[in-house]
Amino acid sequence: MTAQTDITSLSGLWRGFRGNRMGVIGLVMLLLAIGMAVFAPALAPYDPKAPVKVTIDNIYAPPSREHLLGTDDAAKDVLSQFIYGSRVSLTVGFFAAFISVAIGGWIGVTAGFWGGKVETGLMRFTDVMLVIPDLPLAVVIVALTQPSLWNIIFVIGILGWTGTARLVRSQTLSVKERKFVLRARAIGAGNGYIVRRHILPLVLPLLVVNTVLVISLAILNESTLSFLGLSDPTTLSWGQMLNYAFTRGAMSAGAWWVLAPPGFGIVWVVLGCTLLGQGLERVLNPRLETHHLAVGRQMVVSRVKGSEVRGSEGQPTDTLTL
Amino acid sequence: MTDQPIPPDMTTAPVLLDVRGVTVEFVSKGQPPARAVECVSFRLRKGEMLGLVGESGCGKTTLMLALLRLLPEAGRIVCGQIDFLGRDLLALSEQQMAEVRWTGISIVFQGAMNALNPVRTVGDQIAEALVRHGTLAPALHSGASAGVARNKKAAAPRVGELLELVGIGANRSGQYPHQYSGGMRQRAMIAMALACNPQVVIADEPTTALDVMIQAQILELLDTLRHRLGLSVILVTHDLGVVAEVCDTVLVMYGGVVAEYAAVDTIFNDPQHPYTQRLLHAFPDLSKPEEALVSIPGYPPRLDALPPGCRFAPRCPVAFERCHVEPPALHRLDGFHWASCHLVSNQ
Amino acid sequence: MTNPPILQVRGLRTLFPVKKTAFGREPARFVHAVDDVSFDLGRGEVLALVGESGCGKSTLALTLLGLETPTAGSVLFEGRDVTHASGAEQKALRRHIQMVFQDPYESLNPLMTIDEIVAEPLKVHGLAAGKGERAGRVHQALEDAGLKPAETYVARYPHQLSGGQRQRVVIASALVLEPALLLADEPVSMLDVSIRAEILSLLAELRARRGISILFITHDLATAAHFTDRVAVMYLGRIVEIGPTRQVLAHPVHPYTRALLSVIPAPNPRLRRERIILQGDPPDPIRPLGALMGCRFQPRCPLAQDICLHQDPMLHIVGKDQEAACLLV
Repeated sequence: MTAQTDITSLSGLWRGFRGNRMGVIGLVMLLLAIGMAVFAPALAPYDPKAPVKVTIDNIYAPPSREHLLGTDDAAKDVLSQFIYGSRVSLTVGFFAAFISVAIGGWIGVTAGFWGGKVETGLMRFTDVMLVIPDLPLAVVIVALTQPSLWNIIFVIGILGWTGTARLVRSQTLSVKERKFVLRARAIGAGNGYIVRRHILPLVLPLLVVNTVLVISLAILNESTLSFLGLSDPTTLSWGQMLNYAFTRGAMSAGAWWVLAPPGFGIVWVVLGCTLLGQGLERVLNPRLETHHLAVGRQMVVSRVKGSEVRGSEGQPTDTLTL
Repeated sequence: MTDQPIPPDMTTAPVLLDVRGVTVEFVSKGQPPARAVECVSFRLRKGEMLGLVGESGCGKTTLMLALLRLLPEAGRIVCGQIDFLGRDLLALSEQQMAEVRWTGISIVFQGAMNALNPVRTVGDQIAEALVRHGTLAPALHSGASAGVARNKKAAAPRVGELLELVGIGANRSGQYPHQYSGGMRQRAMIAMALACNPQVVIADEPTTALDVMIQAQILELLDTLRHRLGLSVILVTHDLGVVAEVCDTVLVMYGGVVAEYAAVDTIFNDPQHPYTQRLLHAFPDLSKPEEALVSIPGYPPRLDALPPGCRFAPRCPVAFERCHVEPPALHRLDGFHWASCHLVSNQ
Repeated sequence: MTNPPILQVRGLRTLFPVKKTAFGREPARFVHAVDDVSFDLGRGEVLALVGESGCGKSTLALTLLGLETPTAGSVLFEGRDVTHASGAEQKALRRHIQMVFQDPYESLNPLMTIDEIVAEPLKVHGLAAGKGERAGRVHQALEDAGLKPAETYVARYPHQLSGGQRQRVVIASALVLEPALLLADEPVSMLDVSIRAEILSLLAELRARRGISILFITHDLATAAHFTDRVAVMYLGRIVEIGPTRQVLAHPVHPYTRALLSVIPAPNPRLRRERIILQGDPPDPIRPLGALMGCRFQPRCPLAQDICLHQDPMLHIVGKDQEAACLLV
């Protein structure tokens, strides 16, 4: 008789989610990162693109009052780079995840709903995409095209949809079997209508959870590509900061303050996404947590000793005397 | 069953289970506790088949889980006494209780037949029950004759014996659940419940999802087992027809309380509680097809919004003022007949 | 029945091919879900279709509705052959034939309000386009289904209603198109006993007031007995006995009907009687095409004789308006 969370709607999802502490922490972490990206110009003490006069003193300068996180090899403020870098990382993460989820969602629903040859074809394709290693392919594609911001988003997006497609397909399969879909058919509704009105709304909560997890993957992929030097040199992302730090000798200079912030930023956002995603997942699948029949240690409360047993209102019950 | 064996004498057969004033509450954070079962008392004698009748949500399954101390996490037995063969079940340790659950009172859960592990053979799953119990309480039983075994191999003859007992050939113990029909899976579940020779078997809606013909087979089986093994059975059901067919005594529950408790003939031919009377009118009777079915208006009460007085009062056509303010006590009408209704206690 | 019947079913078969095994050189096998079924349903008549699960009664309903494609035979609705109707014809047909499903918990989309659910058929068929008109028809359908006053229900979601109320919503959404034929597949089997009678009397009232014909599909002869005009007993894909309800209940002819009647528990311990309990389960409906030699009930029949092994009995008249498919009567 535990309160069943209604997880079929987004508002129900939120109501159930509020009680999950780790999930809420993840959400707060993610919101802080987004806030930092949005208000970057106000938060950053310097403009990372503004030219700086380089002297021997301000190359790899350690943290100081003027530069809270020190400076890099070009004498630029690391804190400002870190704050601005979040913009690119998050942009790539969100847009690439959006592309992935859109493709994966479409393929998953189509395959799951129409079944038959369509399903076989689409799922074979998905399997092929799944076994191709993402990163080398991404490296090849980015190397062949211009490594611009939008190219990177596109590449990460079109390589990251396979998991979503499989997940959405299985959810579609289970929703399709539910009786209200049959009822809609009995009314005379067509396929398009059924997908729009009956399938999609029930796949949506799952898609939301999945999106959060895909975002973290996309951010990691972007960082990896940037770290390998495959990014738009005119934009600044955390991965690129790491790449510069490595290629320009921050390690040998012992300038940990150049390496640590972008690494921390990536971990922060990925962790936030993961916690949020897991929190949402817990709500969607309560069985991850509770057991139905817990053999009670404290099941028997106040035992009434003695023979007389009292009812709730205090009147003695008519005991069975035969 | 025309050759009805003499029903166990409801006044002299030894009492196996004596339940007195059991009250179960469900607690959830930030809400007052919900009373799922309130002050339920009954007695089960050796060889008796008791029908526990009520609509969904009336607390019948909760009461049975309470007897076995298997309530969900939020459930609490807040008062009452459950004596089984003179032992107070509520005072036992968890380990002693675990013994009682197999060797004393066993249960066939509602829908359990669909919960068999699909990738393991039926025989294997019954053997597991035997072995697990064998290691659980080695001191209590010794030797395979008592139905316990140290390993699955040693359990094999007993598994075959159990399957034969419920009308499945022992040669089918190596088959998987999907090779069994619904009725056979239910038989297998009954075999599992009988594994450690319990004295009381609780069958929770054992025939609900089954067709009438299979239902008849299962009821016949329960009845046969009762006579052959001297079992007492508590049959939890919403189907009055099933109760009329096989039970000796009937406990009608409504909204967590006992509405009426009597011998089966009394319940069906001299019901005193308005709920029992209405329920009988709502039930289709093939022998009187010309009679219109009468439904009971309204809906059963929700646990978190119980009426202050009699729980049936909001739906009761003969309720008067007192019914809406004061809950009626269980009143004894005569020898073996109790009802909780102000109209009855006024007479 | 002086009027022409609203529904005529002739020799209807719905078979599903069974996937071949990996090494299969065996002949193609089929699930014989509906295996040569013929019956008429009169206008304003309530016909009970009774049988155990797996006897093909639900597949028959889905076939009549056009959601399964029949392998052979024909279905005539108001005299027109609709067996192989095109997509557009099918859709038009759905306006006149509606279905009520067994499980009121599953047959409503949890994310839609009652208003949206009941208005859905109108939307799908592009009827009552005006907002006021649509609201009016939804209101009318809800009240006809016994949900009064309708205003208190329209904005709610299915999980806020009880089982009985949900089943009324399902019925309301079937009624909103004003169909001539209602296929009710176990409409009360998931409901509590005290509420069943309400739903049954609602269906009976719809028949009386609107003249709707109802095909009442159930496994429960006792429930069928109380409000149907005729009853058809189905076994393994075929109707084995059909006739006026009271008459069949009083004088069942087919051994299967007799066994079925004998095991339905009577709600009175004084009526405990000799039951004919058929042992085992109904045989598997999977077999090669048309490979049934004898009577389909013969393996479980307590009266079976040699002839039953070799001849598949057809329905023949055994009483006034009563037919049975048994070689021994």
